[in-house]
Amino acid sequence: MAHRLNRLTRRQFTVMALGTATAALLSEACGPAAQPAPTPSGAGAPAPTAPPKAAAPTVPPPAAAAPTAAKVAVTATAPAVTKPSGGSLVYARNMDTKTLDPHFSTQLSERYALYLIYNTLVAYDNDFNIGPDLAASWDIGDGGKSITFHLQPGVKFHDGTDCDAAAVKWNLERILDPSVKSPLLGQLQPPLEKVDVVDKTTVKLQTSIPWRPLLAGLGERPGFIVSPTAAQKSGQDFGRTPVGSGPFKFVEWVPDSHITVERFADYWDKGKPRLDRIDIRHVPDTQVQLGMIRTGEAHLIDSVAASALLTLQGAQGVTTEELKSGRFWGTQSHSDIPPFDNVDLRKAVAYVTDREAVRRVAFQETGRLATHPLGGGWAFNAQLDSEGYTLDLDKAKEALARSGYAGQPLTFTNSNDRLTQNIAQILQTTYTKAGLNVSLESVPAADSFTRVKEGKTNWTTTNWAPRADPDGLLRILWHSTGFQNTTKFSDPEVDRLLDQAAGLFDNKQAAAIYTEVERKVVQEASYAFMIWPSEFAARRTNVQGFVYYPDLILRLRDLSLA
Amino acid sequence: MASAVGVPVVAAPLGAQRTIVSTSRPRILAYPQLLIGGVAFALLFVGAALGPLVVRYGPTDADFSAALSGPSASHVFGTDQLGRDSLSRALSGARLSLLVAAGTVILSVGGGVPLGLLSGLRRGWVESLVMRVIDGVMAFPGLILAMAIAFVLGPSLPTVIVALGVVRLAPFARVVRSQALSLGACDYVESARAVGASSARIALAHVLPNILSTILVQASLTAGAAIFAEASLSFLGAGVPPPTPTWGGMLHDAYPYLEINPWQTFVPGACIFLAVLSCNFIGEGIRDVLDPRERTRRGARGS
Amino acid sequence: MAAYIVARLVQLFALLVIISLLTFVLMRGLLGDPVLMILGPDASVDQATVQRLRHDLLLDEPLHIQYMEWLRRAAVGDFGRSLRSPITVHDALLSRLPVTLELSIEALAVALVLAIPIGIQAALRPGSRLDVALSGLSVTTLSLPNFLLGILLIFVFAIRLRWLPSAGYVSLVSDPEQHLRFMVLPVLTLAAAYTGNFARFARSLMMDVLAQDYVRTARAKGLPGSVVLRRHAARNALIPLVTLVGVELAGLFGGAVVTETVFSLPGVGLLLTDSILGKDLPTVQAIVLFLTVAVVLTSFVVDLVYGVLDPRVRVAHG
Repeated sequence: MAHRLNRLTRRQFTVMALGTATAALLSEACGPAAQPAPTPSGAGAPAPTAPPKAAAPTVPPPAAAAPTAAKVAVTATAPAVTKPSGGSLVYARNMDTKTLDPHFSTQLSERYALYLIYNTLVAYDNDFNIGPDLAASWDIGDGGKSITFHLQPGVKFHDGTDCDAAAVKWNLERILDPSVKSPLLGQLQPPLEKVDVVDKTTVKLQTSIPWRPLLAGLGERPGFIVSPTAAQKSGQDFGRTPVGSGPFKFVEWVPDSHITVERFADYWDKGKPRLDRIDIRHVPDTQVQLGMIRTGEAHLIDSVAASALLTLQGAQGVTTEELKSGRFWGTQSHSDIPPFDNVDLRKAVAYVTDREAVRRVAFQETGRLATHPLGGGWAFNAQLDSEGYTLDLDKAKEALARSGYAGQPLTFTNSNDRLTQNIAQILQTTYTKAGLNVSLESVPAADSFTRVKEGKTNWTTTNWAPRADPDGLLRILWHSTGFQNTTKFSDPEVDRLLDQAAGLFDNKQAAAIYTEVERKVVQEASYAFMIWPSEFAARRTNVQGFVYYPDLILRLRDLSLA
Repeated sequence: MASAVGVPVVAAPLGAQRTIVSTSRPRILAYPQLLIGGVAFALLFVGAALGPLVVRYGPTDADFSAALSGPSASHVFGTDQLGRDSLSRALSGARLSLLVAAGTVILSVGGGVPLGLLSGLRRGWVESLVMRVIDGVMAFPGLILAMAIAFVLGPSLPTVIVALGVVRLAPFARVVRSQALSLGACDYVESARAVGASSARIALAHVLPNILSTILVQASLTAGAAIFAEASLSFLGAGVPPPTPTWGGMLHDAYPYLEINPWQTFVPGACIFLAVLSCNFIGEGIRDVLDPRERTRRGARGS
Repeated sequence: MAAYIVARLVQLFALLVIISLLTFVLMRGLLGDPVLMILGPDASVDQATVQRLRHDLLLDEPLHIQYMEWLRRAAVGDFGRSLRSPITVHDALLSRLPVTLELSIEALAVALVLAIPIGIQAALRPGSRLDVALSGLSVTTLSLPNFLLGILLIFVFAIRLRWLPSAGYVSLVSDPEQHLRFMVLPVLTLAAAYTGNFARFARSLMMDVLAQDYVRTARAKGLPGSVVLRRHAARNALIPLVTLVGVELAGLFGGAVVTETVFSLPGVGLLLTDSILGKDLPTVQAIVLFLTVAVVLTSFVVDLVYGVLDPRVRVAHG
């Protein structure tokens, strides 16, 4: 009897099991059927607040029959078309794009798209030297107080309107207009006072004092020229439906998914761009990015960590690119409050900063050792590399003894992301050797910068990317009125030198002054500089025209696919 | 973290002697789970207590030139990305895991047992409310709750223990309550009430001794769950922060290097697994010993 | 019965308010001002912009006003904007929900499909090698943290053998084949812990049922085994199983969180982790709300199903 039950049992339960499985699969198929695709493309203006929906697990698809958005990251696209020019390029990165209106742009990732859709007045080369873009040439006059731009003739915006001197004037005045509340206002004013149209392709800027950084600024956000017609028509929504004069026209932007642009047939620079389409995909996870570049789903990724390079080594069809960037990593401490108001203590720390170990272990032996802030650009002075504080345990101990803080407990704060954790632990090892009693305090990554700005963190790691003009970085960190001067560095001589250098249009003269400023900053020792790391990008081997720019923003528009 | 299934009650008359487990040696072999678990846990304890004293390297001694290496003569378990000895870190991590486990058990017993007894033996809206809150807490994924608590309070050893203690308190209270409920309906408790004994006396003198076995089992399982949870928290980035070596933290550090230095991952992984396994074996083993019905079921033929 | 439903709904509502208030107070009160964090160090803005952003986010209002405003908007489905990315929380949730649902349901299905037959076979042969192996296996899978299992699987199948991808996601509807490739490892990882538990449970349920008088009676009456099973045993075994699944659902989400982290699946779990660690309060609040609703609704449904399947319960409730 038991035997018979067993046999029936087996069959019966196979049926039960299959039934359960089927039921599960059925419910799956019916469940997450809704593929909501909130698209902001031209047609319907997207509501900033979604239409009222009950908090139920399954939601009916939105009324607007918008095409299904590509899911986050991984949908297989056909690889590049094999034409000498043309083709569709996919670039994957972690995007935190909030707007495509350059005059309201605050996030770095937005600029990848901005450089595709718009032109800037001027452009940079690999040393941050200023070159032409929308402005074919310019003259400095009035003792440095006026810049006259001669624009490229016959430039059109994507909507067909003219990109001329009047458009440029409109753009700059838009930023200057206090009622517009552009976050870029502070970059133009002071000292920009007036913008005048001289003729259709000539526009003159008047400043209250000679100010070289203004010219450099016009190569990034304040220099992006938008279509006045389109901006006025779209109003608040312009950031979602951008119109510029750049080599690529805006197609669509699905937040948290992708931005798509396609070639602008009437681009003023004939023969460019080479690509037909570019797809910037939002892929927050580096593992997924690496997977995509391996399979060819993405043609290009950047911000590749040094530790990830190893995993790309054997990958077919993938080439890695290294940029010796000018971004500096260092440690910073307050110089106005104890214990680091004590200059000997700061010197001790500077003498015991083991930058070689940091480079070797935290950055996998990539990058260049740094002893001063400017790592590149036309003001870079290699001579400073051999000056400054180098690792010297004896001098560190001496300085520590003089300071009176030997053995006193000190707290080093660091963000809890992997890289900074590693750096902090490496530094601590050497600090201990010199007799510094350092304990590490970990703070959540989301918090760490905020705490520094609020003055809650005394001593921590820091890193800053270079700006196009050396004044950009040096001023915000080391001018006594600098917006990011969180160490309260204050030296009236430095203030004077910075102001003086900013008024010089002769790069060589200005560079000499910046070298002076760097010396003083290094001496003061509230910053201990460690490394200018290399930045890495990975591209499919058939991607051509890749040039790494020192502001670390890839110029996708110059690329082509073989 | 799976919740423990309820343990059947072993009712005993008032005053009866409790024989927890027979101490004659051969009998222990009938409970292989308990034996294995006990031995493993003892090894873990000894390792945690004495290990850090006898190892060659300290857990935070960094030898940068030996970074990311596998097992070798000088580093038996290999090193991590900063050249720190994995064996030493694993042993120090054991200390921390045991501390977290102990703290969590203490908190959850100290809070869960009284709450469970209270709501199981007394009737009232307070007790009912307490149970509703406990149900609410249990309805929430424990890991998320622990992560939120630990993160908001600022991750550190005490806050992780508090977070885990709070989360594990709920199932403890629930189990104790259901036991107390059934026991509370027993004759001898009814008669004790009739005689006028206060609830507290009933709880302490009558109910508590009988649910001791339940508490023991739950405590072991909670210890395992605490080690498990601490590892998860550290892996996600919300646990005890570096440079304190924790098994979960070691895993967190090791993950990017999985391809080139797999041993860095395996060492803490194996430690976590073995520790949790031994706690679970002990808990299951105690349950086997103390519940004859389970034992019968295990050995008997189907009828 | 109707009164019971109403009572439960009221309870649900109260629970929602309490939990959302708690979340709000904890995160906003203890975690402070997110503005600088939102802007980040690469943002070049001035103090005026900071002030304006603060005003737009209502951060200059007192706490209780902020909470009331959130509550008011949440009631109509507006959960605000994520602090870390430009989309609305609502959209973020919707785009990620399918991933988590697919993962959870597939894992649950795999666990049940594997567990039920194994458990039943073990019940039919108590004390056998299969039974003992099952017992040992289930404790083992319970003790192995799922992220460890996930890492192990990645190491073997993605890194050493290169058969499967180690991270990423393709949706079921867009490309089923790729979907399977990407989901095999995560689903196995998540299902493992539950398979052991379910199998043991199925086993003990089955044994209970087989020992029942009415089964013996039915068989004595000469009813074929399949009828016995279907009409009597299965239904009674099903009830506690349903309850167990309902109880484990919360844990399933916790397991999904870790699994999504390990395999980089863009689901709600990963979003929650990132939002907690990234202090993205609007997202956290919305997810917590959804979670509470889902869990309470599930237990409510389970109770109802219980009532349907087991007449005794229905009578008790009246």
